[in-house]
Amino acid sequence: MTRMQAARPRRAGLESNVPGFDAALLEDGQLYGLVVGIDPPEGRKLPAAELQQLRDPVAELLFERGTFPATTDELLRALDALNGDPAGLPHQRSYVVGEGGRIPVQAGDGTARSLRFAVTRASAPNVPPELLMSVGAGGDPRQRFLQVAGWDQTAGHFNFYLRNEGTTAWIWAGNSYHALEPRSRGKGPFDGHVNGSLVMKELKVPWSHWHSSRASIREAADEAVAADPLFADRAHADDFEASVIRPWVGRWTTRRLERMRAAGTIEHPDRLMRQVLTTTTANLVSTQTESARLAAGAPLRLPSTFFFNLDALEQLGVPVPPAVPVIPDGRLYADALAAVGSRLEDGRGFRSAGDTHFAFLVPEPALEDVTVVLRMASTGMVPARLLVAALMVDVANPTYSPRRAALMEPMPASADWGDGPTGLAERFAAGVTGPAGEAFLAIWQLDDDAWPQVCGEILTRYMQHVADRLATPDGVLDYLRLAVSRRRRFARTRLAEFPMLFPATDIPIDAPALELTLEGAVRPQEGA
Amino acid sequence: MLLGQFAPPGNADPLDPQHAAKWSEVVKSFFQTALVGHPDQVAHDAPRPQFYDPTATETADDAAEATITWSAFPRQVALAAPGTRQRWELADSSRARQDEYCEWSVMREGGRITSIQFTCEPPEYWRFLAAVDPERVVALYRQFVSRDVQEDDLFVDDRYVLLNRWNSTTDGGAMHLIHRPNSLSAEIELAAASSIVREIPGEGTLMEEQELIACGEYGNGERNSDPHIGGEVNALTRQRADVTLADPVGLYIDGLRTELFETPDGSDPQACWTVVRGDPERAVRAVFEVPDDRFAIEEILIDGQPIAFGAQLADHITMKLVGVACRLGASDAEPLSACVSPLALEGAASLQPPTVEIPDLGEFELASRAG
Repeated sequence: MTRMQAARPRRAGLESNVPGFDAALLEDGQLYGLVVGIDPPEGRKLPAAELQQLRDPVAELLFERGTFPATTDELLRALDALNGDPAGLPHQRSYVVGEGGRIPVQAGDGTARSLRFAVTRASAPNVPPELLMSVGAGGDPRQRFLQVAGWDQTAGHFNFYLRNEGTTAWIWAGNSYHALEPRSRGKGPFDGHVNGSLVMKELKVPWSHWHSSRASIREAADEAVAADPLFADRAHADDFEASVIRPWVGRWTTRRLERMRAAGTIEHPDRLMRQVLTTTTANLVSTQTESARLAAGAPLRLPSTFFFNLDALEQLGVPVPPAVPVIPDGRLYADALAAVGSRLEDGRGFRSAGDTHFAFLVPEPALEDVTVVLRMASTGMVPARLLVAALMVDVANPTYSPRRAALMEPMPASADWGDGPTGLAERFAAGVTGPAGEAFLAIWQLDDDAWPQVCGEILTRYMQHVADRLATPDGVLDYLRLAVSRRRRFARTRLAEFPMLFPATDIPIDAPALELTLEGAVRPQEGA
Repeated sequence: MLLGQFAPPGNADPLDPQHAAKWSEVVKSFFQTALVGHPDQVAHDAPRPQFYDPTATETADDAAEATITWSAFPRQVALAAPGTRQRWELADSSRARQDEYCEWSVMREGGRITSIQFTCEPPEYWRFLAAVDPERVVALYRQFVSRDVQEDDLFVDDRYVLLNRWNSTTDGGAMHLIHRPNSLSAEIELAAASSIVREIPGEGTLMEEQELIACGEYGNGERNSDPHIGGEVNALTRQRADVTLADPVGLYIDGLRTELFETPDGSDPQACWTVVRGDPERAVRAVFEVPDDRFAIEEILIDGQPIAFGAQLADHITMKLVGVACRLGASDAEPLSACVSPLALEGAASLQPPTVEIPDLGEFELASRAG
């Protein structure tokens, strides 16, 4: 969802994560600056001159007008009061997500459904909303987490805010560029908004865990949540993906690259190339098959992005294999689930054997990383060949590949925009070393009319091996173990906040990380 | 209150009273068929007591409309083609791929896209219109598809050809739906069949979209539309409501999302999208073209990609139908305790096919149940 540290107890979170922070010292009706890693840990009252520089609707419609809401309702009412204002944001949408949201409600059950809302406000229909809220569901509205991101069109970045629970004190926690800056990277809101954009973990159809056109969240165990207009008026996650997340990831990336293009020089190329070569974050994707509908004899189509970076490679011009990877018999997958003891547990007593609502939920390359890759090519910053050559290194492991990450060293300190001898592509290619460098150069040094075909053939042979293994019990079990290994990598990040995001298994927690080979084999990961 | 008669889809055409009454009879016949179900063919497909014909049964004062939406991009194509460009190519390859009650055709001149036509008009209506007013059919084709349309292109031996040269391809025009599952009768049958509440011993009340459609066999579970429509209708009948479809009964284009669109001059991409048939809230035909040819359609980017396929727009088109629920909590219909299944031979022999009065429409032929 639009995370903004959604649903973690923020007061405890800030106090535990920021030594020296004391929520009790914050005064009501004030805006503080606290960019973790840069500002003093106790925060600082934001001077009027700095507030003036925040040109997003949160600052302009609320704080500049002296409005410091204590609750979501107060915030929405304050916005409603400005619906007739030229700067107003009258168009509201709400979305619901919850890892246990589809578990039928039974009287008196205490299952951790982890429901929360994403709420957007836009100036008009069919334009991306300029303001997004991440809102807790249920409980005391003054104590619920409430975090807001606002788009600053002038600066071309998001500003991130949070309300100190139980008060009307607000904190400006930084802007998108703070996500990239070493001092604040991965801290505060940027442990979730890793690259400064908005996040929807389960981005694609069937939008696991979200209320969507593929599967509804029909009930809320908490009567107050069920009666909340944000729940009653919930829209589909389909819309959140298409109308909110994709447009904003694209626009933020465009503005970020425009700034470099205008400068003519790419400072800190590592901040871009890490989004090509490493897994800065990940999205989660699943099959479109409901686990309850797994059937003997029925095929189970797996997401291709589990096997290679389909979204980037296809758009960069590689002729990707036309076939979807398929387990030909759902029974094979059901047997593999049973073999690893797959089950859902909420830690409060709920337990159900099997998989998540949609089967085979796994990490895939993040939209924000793929978008950077594609924009680097489409803007002419680097040739597509550079990006393809990089992504083809350890291509069978589209996420969490230490082999591909090895290409981060050495990295030029700066480079020029475009395809010249001082451009990023040439400087990067000149510096690569080791086995990963050799694999990179094997594609990079091909002629422009040869590399797409060569890459396409590599992928075709690889996916044929995968198809062969998917038809065998051992192969399916191997791929499920690989899925669990990758889930565990994801679960180490702060994006994994709630129980039942993934199923639990009997696979020992200290089992070695796994990787896939071009022969379709699964083995312990080298260099992990 | 009782509905007087069914209106044409989207109120797209002003029909004279006689023709309007005839069209209403056509829709009514679909309801009658759907109310009965197919007890002569399968077991546990009927009765359907919570579905009603609003011209025969009162819609109560507590009636509330429920808009059900789904994506126009064919899900079966998305399942079959892993790549984004691959699925665009596949969806644009044939109208037979476009099975979400929305079909389109990309019009080109000199290799450049001039417009993209989208339609969700049911074939039954066009067969009807051709039977009662063939001149109007030719005129509408000329207005919306091509000035070059000739009567002989559309009629053979005075019978209207649904798949004619101006309405059978993805690059020669799209006047109305032609893919077999995309029909009005299928929509009504889907709503009726999915209204059955099922409590299966050992499983409880079915609620999930896929389990409902697998049990009720009222459509294709791999589409966006069928399982979702069925799931939403069933959610209403599980609340012991009676349900029907809002008049005018039809499948509609809900809208085009343009948040991911970028025009070369920064203008609003919605200016390229025009509903050309149907009420504003019940669009049955829309066209995407650049006003005054200010720029080429191919210069518009969607999520960073230039437009080259109609399917790229279908990704952002939402379809809808509008249901009506009333007498909430009042239905005393008993849930069925089994799923649709083949009839046992001895049972089949004792059943009679449903009796449905077919209105006399002359040359007009009722569409059969969509597969």
